Amino acid sequence: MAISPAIQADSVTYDLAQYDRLINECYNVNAEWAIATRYFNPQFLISKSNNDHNQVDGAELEVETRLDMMLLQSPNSLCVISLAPGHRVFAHLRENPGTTITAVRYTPQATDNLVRKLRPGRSGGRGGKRKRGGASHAVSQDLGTFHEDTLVAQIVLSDGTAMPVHAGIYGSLLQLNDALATDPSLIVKHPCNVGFLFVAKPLRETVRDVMTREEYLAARPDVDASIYPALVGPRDVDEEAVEEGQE
Amino acid sequence: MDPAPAPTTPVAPPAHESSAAAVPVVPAAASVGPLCNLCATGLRLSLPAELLTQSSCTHCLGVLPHADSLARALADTVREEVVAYDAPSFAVEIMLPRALAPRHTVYVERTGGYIAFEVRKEFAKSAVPVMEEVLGKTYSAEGPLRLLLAITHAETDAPIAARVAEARRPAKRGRFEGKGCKVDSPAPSEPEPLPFPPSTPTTLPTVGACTVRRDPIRLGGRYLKLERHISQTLWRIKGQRKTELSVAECVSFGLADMTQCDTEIGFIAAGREDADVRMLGTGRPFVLEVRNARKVDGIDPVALAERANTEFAGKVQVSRMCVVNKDEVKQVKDGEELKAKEYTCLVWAPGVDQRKVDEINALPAFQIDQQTPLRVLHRRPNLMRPKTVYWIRMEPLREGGPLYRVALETQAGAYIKEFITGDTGRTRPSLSTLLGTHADILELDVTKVALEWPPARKSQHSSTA
Repeated sequence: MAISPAIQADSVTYDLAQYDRLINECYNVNAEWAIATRYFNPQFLISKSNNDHNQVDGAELEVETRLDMMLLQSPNSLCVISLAPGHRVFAHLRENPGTTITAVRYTPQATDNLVRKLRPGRSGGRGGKRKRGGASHAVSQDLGTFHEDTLVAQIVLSDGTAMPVHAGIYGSLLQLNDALATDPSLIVKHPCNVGFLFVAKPLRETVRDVMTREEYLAARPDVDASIYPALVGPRDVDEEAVEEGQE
Repeated sequence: MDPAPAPTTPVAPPAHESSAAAVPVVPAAASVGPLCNLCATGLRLSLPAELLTQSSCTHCLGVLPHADSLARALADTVREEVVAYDAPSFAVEIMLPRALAPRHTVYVERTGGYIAFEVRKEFAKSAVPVMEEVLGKTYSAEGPLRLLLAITHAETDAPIAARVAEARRPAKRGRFEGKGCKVDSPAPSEPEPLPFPPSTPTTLPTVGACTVRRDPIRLGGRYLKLERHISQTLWRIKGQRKTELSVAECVSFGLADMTQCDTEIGFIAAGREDADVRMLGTGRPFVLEVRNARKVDGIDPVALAERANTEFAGKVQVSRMCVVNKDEVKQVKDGEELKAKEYTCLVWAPGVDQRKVDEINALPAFQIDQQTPLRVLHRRPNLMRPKTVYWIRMEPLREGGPLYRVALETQAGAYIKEFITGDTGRTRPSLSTLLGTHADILELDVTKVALEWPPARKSQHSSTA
């Protein structure tokens, strides 16, 4: 049988003008943040001020704990959780120059209850599309499920201060950040990138008390909103992330 | 004395097949049910005349004496469907009433009946010529038509179905030790022993459910995707299409009409690209599996390709379409796993000087370690996969950047977007870490899938490139 003739597509060309706004208004302002917003939906959690009380002459002064967290949520619902710009560690480091972050210590509950440990894979192929192995099994009642207040880690500073990191979400913990063992300061240097604290899968459709970027910036006027621009331009639309009932 | 089970006199003729020359055994008369002449002869049992019957055979339930009319009835049932196919020949798979197997076993065990006498074979011998006549096609074990024909016998089917259902139900009576006892059905291959002689049927077998299928025809080719936002196969979320077009639908345009096949056409490709990624160069190998095609004689892959290319010009194009064999399809599946792929992408990376660009371009092949990307971590295990990047070529689109055209070739299965951005450190090294700066990928195109497809043929035609 005759074979239809070959066709070839010519070399790739791009229309660059469509990216000008993205480059000028986002990348050039804050590259790390802007890139993160292309792949994730940034959300924020403000800690409730239960814990810190200063008693001054009988009057209780509630000090906001300011353990603000940032949740970078992928379209597939997984969250990369790190320090929000208004987290008090930033202010603390500014006010105490010379202080450094000594360590980020994960609690035993965190290290022992990761839902998916890292395993070596074979080097050929993609490992197939298996539904099994996904974080879709019910992890409900066991230790592997974290509540919003569950302690995941302690940030330890060189001046002895310790700041707790809570799960912030109701769900399971997928991964911790090994890079922090060598360089704990990543959590303040690159919070939108390699300085994340942990990766989690929320078990409820919406995270309790979560705030959008606008809401968070409004609640924290001391944070410079201009260096956290809203994304203009295309968010990466990934087929696999959004696939639910696929064909 | 009790009627002995199989008398041990060596009756079964050793090496010789066929042959009514074998000495028939005379079982105790009272213990055998009526048999038809064909079964009596076939089982090599000698029966008193009053036990010979046409319609109440306790061995074949009347299938053999009525083979002709049953075959005719079966053929008539499927005739209309069969005639719609332009295939010259058919294969047949006949399912007989369930009771036949246990009845045969019991005849062999209790009366020394000849074990190799198969009702199915005997039935086929008479049935096939009849069917050939009614259907106007010849029998061939290779098909391409396959007729799945069933003969049922309600009278004897029902008790067997009931017994099977009973055996499956976990017995709730009585107490058992241990929890969650799974009641194994008592050695499933041995149902409760049938009474002997088996019950005499009062009804004749009838035609059951019949299906007609045709072996699939496979077309292979290569596709190009020239526009973004086209998924590879139909992509629906909650009932809504996510993309207007899909490659699978485009390349099979007009195929269902031309071949009158099932509407669901199988689509297999050597890997896939995301909806927002183009497929350029010589395209990606694919195979279409055409099921139950009624009309095959007029298949013209070249015309199909032309039609699709006209309809979807500028979007999806098909190249080199031709008929392929079942065993050739494996090459496409292997291609997904084994073959290297080439890509070109648009990358934003600030503060990169020409020296750095030259360094990158000069890199020899290197390995990257990729953890399962975050974007698929919800569905796939958290594996660490080593992949090879064979070469990279970076070229500034404007002097000094920050936009670059980056071309690269990698091992199959590498995640390119994650290699560029680093995926929060999950891919190491990444272009970002190699450049020492942030990097983002804005557009991605696949430019080569290095698999020879369609397969080279030694044919009389000199193949076009």
